[in-house]
Amino acid sequence: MGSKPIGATNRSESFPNASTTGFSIPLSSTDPVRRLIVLTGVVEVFGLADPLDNDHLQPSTETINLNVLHPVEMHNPAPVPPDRAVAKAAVGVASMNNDDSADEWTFAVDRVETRFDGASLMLVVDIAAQGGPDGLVGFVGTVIAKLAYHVTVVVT
Amino acid sequence: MITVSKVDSAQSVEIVAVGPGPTNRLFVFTGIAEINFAAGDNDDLHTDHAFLDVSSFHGDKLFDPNSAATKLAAIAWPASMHATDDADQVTWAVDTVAPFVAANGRLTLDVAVAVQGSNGNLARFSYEVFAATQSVSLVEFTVQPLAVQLGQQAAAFTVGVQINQEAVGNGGFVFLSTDHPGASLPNSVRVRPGTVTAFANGTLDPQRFLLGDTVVTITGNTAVNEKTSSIKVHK
Repeated sequence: MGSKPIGATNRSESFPNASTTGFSIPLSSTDPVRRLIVLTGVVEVFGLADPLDNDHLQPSTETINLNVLHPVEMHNPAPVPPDRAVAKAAVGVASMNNDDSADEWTFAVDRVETRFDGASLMLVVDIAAQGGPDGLVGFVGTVIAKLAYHVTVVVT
Repeated sequence: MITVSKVDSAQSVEIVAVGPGPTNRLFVFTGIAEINFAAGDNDDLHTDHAFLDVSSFHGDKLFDPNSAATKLAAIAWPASMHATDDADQVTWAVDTVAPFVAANGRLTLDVAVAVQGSNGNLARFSYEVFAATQSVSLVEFTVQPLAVQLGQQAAAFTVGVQINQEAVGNGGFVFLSTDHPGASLPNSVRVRPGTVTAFANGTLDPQRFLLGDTVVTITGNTAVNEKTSSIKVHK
């Protein structure tokens, strides 16, 4: 049995195989920055680097850079200014896997929030997973392979 | 390919957008789509695409297929899953979600799904679809003539539409349909940019009508509203 860091944080600036859609609607004829932005996507969970061979419940925090995933909506006609933006998010598990070597399974999204890191809007998701094949590397990223998200941003 | 034939908890919200810009409506559609995607009696990973005709479960709202006129965003995720202890490994997945408007105006969701595990299934997925559109309101919808004496030859009729504001972009689409198989007409008519009216021609096939009087209803739809008109056919 190995051990895992509890509450590991994973962050990436690249998102292979991400499936994203989104658009914005202008809210002002005089200020093009003001707009309603709808962002949606299915994105891979990054996973953890260490091998796992136990049935412990493994939490992880995924930090997803929405400016990278949605460059058009977040930057056109002008970048979203953090001090004028309100963002609300919902996240669900989109892809999950497990096998019968586990005694217990868990797939969980425990907490979701958005925050700005500099000029980038981050989607921060606490997930937890349990089970997984023996000796698996990248535990969380395999048991919970993908997350589905919806983020609404209002720029006032 | 899986065609979704049942949706539970279908809900719709229509928001009037006042601009600036041509977008005048924002629609939000949500629901739980039944697919019953079964893994079969093996542990192979099975993948497929589920197609959900969002329009048909949300008031038959039709949209301009031009991507400059209708902007879409969508999300889906597994909602109901099943597994048995016959399986050595299980997977339930929504891998990609792609919304689009078909040529006939129907808002459609293409959802790539996967399932694994002997005798398990991915029974349902939940979805949210957002559609921002510059749909126009249909203010007048006419059919001429109102009555037709049908002989051995096909008879023609004309559909006229008028929208509430000048069409912008590539024009405004009004979608057309009929309740009678003997009437044929194009599935849409385009109001040219800068104008408010358009016309389309249809035909009545005498082979498809019974003797006596038949009322044929013609319907015009936009995402915002619909109107009907009828032709009294005598054979």
